[in-house]
This record gives sequence, C-alpha cells and structure tokens, in this order.
Amino acid sequence: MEKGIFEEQKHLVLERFKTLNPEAKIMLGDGKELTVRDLIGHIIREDEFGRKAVHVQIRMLRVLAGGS
Amino acid sequence: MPRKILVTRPRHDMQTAYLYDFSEGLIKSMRGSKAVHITELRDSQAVRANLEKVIPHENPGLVFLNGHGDGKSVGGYKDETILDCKNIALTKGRIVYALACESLSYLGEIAAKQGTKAYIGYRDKFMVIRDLTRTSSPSKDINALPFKKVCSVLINALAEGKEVKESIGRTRDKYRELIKSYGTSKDDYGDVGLIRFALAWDLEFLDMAGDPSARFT
Repeated sequence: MEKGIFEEQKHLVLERFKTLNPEAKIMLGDGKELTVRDLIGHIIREDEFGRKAVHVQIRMLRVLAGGS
Repeated sequence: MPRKILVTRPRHDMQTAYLYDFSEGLIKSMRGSKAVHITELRDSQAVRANLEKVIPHENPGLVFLNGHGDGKSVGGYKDETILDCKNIALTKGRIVYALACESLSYLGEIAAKQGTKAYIGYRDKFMVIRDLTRTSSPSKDINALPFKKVCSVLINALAEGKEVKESIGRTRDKYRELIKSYGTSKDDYGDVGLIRFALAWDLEFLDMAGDPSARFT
C-alpha cells in the first residue's frame, strides 16, 4: 500500500481508537487479553499486528458505510 | 443411520468458558435429534487420548473443536494439544470447524492436503469482547452475544448439511449485519466501537481450506 494512504488510514484509525476506554479489553482465543491501550501501541509502532488492525478497521468502516 | 458430530468443549479458563457457552446452543438443539448424533468431549474429557479414541470409533462427519489454538495446533483441556500435524490424519474425509486462534493458517492447510474434506477456522487470532462485569456467567454477557451468534450460524449451517462455502457465506453476512446493527446501538459503556472492530477482525480472518463444496454427511 502507498505510504501516504497508509499514514492517512493509520491516523483515522488511531483517532477512533482514542475515543474508546483505554482499559477496555479484547479477549483473544490464545488465552491472552489486549487492552485498547495495547492496540493503540501496536498501531503507533506499525508492527504486524498494528498494520492488520488498521486494515481491519478500515474494512469495518466500509461495512458500516454499506460496502462489503 | 444418523450423521455424527464430535464436539470438544474444554472449560478451564475464561476464554474456554466463553467458547463452551457458544457451543451450548448446538448441543441443546441436537439433543434428541434422530438425524444427527452428537458426541461431546466436555471439560476434562477433551484430551488428546480421547479424541484419538473417539474419532475412529464414532466416525463423525463433522468435528467441532473449541479451545485455544495457534498456527500448528488446537488445544483441549488445560491446553493439552489435541490436534496437530502428528494426528491430523484423524480428520481425513471429515469436515473440521476449529473455533480457535490461527489454526487454519498452517494446520488447516496441512489437513486439507492430507485429505480432510474441509477445515474451517481462523487465519489469525479469534477475538471476543466481554462485559467485564459478566465474566462469571458468559451466557448472560451481552457483549459476547454477537460473537456467539455468528459461531452458531456457522455450526448450525454445517450441521444442517449446507455446503461449506454457503455456511461461511451465511456467517460472513451475519458478521456484516451485526457490525451495522451495533453501529446504531446505544452504548452506555463505550464498548460498541471495540465490538465492531473485533467482529470485523473475525470476519477478516475466518476462512477455510479444502473443498468449498463439501457437506456434512
């Protein structure tokens, strides 16, 4: 993906996640839990998990907007 | 002769307690059915030795695994590995639905290459959002309900004998429907945004390996 587009998407996704309770938790099927604060950290670091989270959140917004 | 389903349902920590609850509806709906016979490996019964004994003995057409997982394995009671590359041949000629993290990414692909009709699972982590006040009673957890609903759509479609691709298609439609409906829900505790994200995550990574036209017979 073009760097500029990813940066814009990352910014959009971060702003949305920052509106959530930072201590809210995601339960993962591997036995671990992840807080919103952790999730934001992954996105800021742009590690593999964070990049996937940006991609998924953009897909979610498309579903919300009526796309697939 | 009834078609047979084998279900593994360990329950030894918070995550497996939720998955245990997710599969409760299937167990109840099939109880008393003459068309489908269910065998449960529940709680401490969900161990490798029992899986390796019951599959050849019962010959189930559908194997529904609930537990922790990673790319190369699915876990049972107290996270004992109950299915991996060493015993994946057990699933040859059957449909597998693994409600577990990541197992499709490697184990599922190996399974399909070795003759499993279809292996349905997640290519990455499986996410659930829980109500922090309801962890002692997963069945009353409103936050977990949409995740339970989509799992029910998939296993029920498979149990009805729908093709794997149709079963997954119905499930993906349910994910999208729930993402949209949660977008307009009242949100007193600020969980809706996270629920929608986790639903979208699970939608993204739900997939299958093997024959999309396979049916539970």
